Amino acid sequence: MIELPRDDPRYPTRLDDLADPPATLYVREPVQPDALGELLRPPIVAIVGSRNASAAGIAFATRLAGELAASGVGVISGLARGIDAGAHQGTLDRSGRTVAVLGCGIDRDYPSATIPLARRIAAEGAILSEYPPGTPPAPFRFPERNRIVAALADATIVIEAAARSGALITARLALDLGRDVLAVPGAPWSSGAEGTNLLLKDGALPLTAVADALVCLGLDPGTARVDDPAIDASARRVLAALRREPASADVLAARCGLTSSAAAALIAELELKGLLVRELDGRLVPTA
Amino acid sequence: MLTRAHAFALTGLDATPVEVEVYTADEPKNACFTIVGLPDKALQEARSRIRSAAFAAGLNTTESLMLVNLAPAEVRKEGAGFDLPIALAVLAGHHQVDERLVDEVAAVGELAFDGRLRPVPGILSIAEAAVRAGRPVLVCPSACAAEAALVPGCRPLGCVSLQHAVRVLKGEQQPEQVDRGATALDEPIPDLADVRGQPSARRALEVCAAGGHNLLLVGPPGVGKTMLAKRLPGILPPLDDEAALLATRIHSAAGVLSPGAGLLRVPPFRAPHHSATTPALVGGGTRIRPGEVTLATGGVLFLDELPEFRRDALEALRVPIEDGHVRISRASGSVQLPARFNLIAAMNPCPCGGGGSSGCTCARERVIAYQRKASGPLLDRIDVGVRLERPAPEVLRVDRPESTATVRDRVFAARERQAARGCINGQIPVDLLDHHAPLDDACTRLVDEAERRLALSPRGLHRIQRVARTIADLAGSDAIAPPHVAEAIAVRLGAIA
Repeated sequence: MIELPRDDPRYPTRLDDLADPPATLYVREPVQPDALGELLRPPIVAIVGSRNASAAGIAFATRLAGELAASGVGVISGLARGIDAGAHQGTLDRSGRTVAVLGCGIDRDYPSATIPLARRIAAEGAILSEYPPGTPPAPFRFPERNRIVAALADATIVIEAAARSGALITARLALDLGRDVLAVPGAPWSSGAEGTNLLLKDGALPLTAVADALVCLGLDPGTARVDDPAIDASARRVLAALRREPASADVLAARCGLTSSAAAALIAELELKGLLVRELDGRLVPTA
Repeated sequence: MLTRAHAFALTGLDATPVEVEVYTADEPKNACFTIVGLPDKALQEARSRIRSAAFAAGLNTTESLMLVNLAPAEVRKEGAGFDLPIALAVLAGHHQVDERLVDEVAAVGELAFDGRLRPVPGILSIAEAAVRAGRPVLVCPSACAAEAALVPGCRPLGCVSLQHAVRVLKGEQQPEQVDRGATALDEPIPDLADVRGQPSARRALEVCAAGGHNLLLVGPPGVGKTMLAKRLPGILPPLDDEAALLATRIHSAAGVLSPGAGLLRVPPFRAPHHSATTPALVGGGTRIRPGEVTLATGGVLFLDELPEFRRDALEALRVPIEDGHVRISRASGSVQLPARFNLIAAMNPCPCGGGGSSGCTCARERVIAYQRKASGPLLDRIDVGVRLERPAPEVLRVDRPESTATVRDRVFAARERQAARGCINGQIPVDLLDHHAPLDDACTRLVDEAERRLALSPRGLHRIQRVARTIADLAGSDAIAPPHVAEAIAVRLGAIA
């Protein structure tokens, strides 16, 4: 473990923008404190959202983080389940820079669902916290932690958030700091879109593709490497039907006039290419 | 004087010959009736039944000294089936019937106080043992005669009472007529065409029937999980002679065969309640009885409300699912019973039962935890998972369910292809997988991609390969093609959670 007091030259200067900057930052080994500056250099964004996000929301976070990483943008998040975990994972998959800021001591394995992910981040990115080792997680600490996430990033991207999500706190803190906030718009009848649509009404920038984030960061959106896997006509038709409205396998087969056996094969093909995900209720949702 | 009769002790599915020796003397001062030779409680009580039945037959035994020995002494003897052989030997000892006649036949049956004969379980096993022991003539309750007649070589003498049995032995009366033509009262299996609006679930059922794969159905209450499971026996191959005899023997030994039912030809369907104990599921008890897994042999074991089953009971299912048999060990020895069946398990998608969709209040993580925990002990034994929803109107509009007969034809054809390879797909050993279910480059790429993106375990990949083999067999294809593998990936268990 490495301790960085405020007067340490390696202490991130961006945190000085806060009214109450952390007195000390703790960084989990094995990262070198000198590498911290490189990990946190601009361009870097925060990607946050609901812990109970939909499978489609998590898939979008993973893909967006991966595409940002491929364009050289770092990704900060909070190592929570759901959107946070998706964002870290997407960055690591593309060997990008990723930093997790915890709401507990850096030695705590919390949440348990992300322990394997935490190990990878500690090895390839950085895990930091303002709380001394051993501090247990507590609900009141997460909003405090969010101010660090907002302050370290050039911009904060909210992917899926309910009306009272902690991700909205991060977004508000980012606005207070004069940083940009981007939000993924959603259908008004989707509970996961309430928070992000609220942000958009308050003036956040809409984000529907990686280019929106790159433009916001002052980068050339042309450098974005958007994946477009080759799929055949019938798979394209299935995907188009799902874009119109997510559906279960049976409904999809009925809409496309396919046997359930043929539909299953196409669904597996698209799932393997990462073009659709299954929600818990069995509905299939396109990721792009 | 000393008289002999021949009885049988039932252990699991097997019957052992037991010699009944009765020493009778007219000694009113020393009158007694003693049974030795490891008899159980029911057998001890046989003394009252035999005395009363003998009295009904016109013989007062209260002034006699009667010592009964059951040999071999170390075999545990259980149940009321010994009533008739002991009673016959007692009657012979009182010169009511020729002792040589009694010594020549095998006998089984429970006595009522008025001398009537009551049926006992395990007749098929007992008849087989009688033929093997060289006593093909079996004096038995008339309700059991049809079942005994199923055994080649056995000549059952169905009797209604002890008096009747004596008269039949003396040749004074005919035994009850045995209806050899009796076959199982085929309860009609409901048709698959009734399951409207669930095409992928019907397809999953077909794949599982064809390859002997185990299936998990996940869906909210009332969508038709039980309805679907009950239709599986209809598309399974009917039991061949050997399998039918085995199934009948199992049901007979468990005492669940309806009298006069004849051979069981329809694959059995067993649906134990989720409160079932481990011995009820895998067999056991002080008197070893076949459990549900054995009763389901050749057919279907349906576990509805899987998460509600006791965890130890589910753990106990792992070995029979893997090995196709169970071994029940007791102080007196161990018995191996067959247990080869198609498993169908069913569960709600989440703790509240709403199904993760509208009306469900469960958090995502809780739903995943519920599904994992529920299927936990059996997870790695289940090949196919399918999600059921309330049928949407647009599905109902276009869904044209095929009949059981149509699907059964495809299943039979696929089974024949497997028989030619010598191994049912669900049980291809790992080292023979690439021999029986080789994957070409395109298929291998798909499997590799599934391993990478879906984080599948090696075991999960083997399962996909086996299911793909079945899907290719159903399509009548020798080679496994990429769409077969893709469908197998789509119906993998992990796809439901």
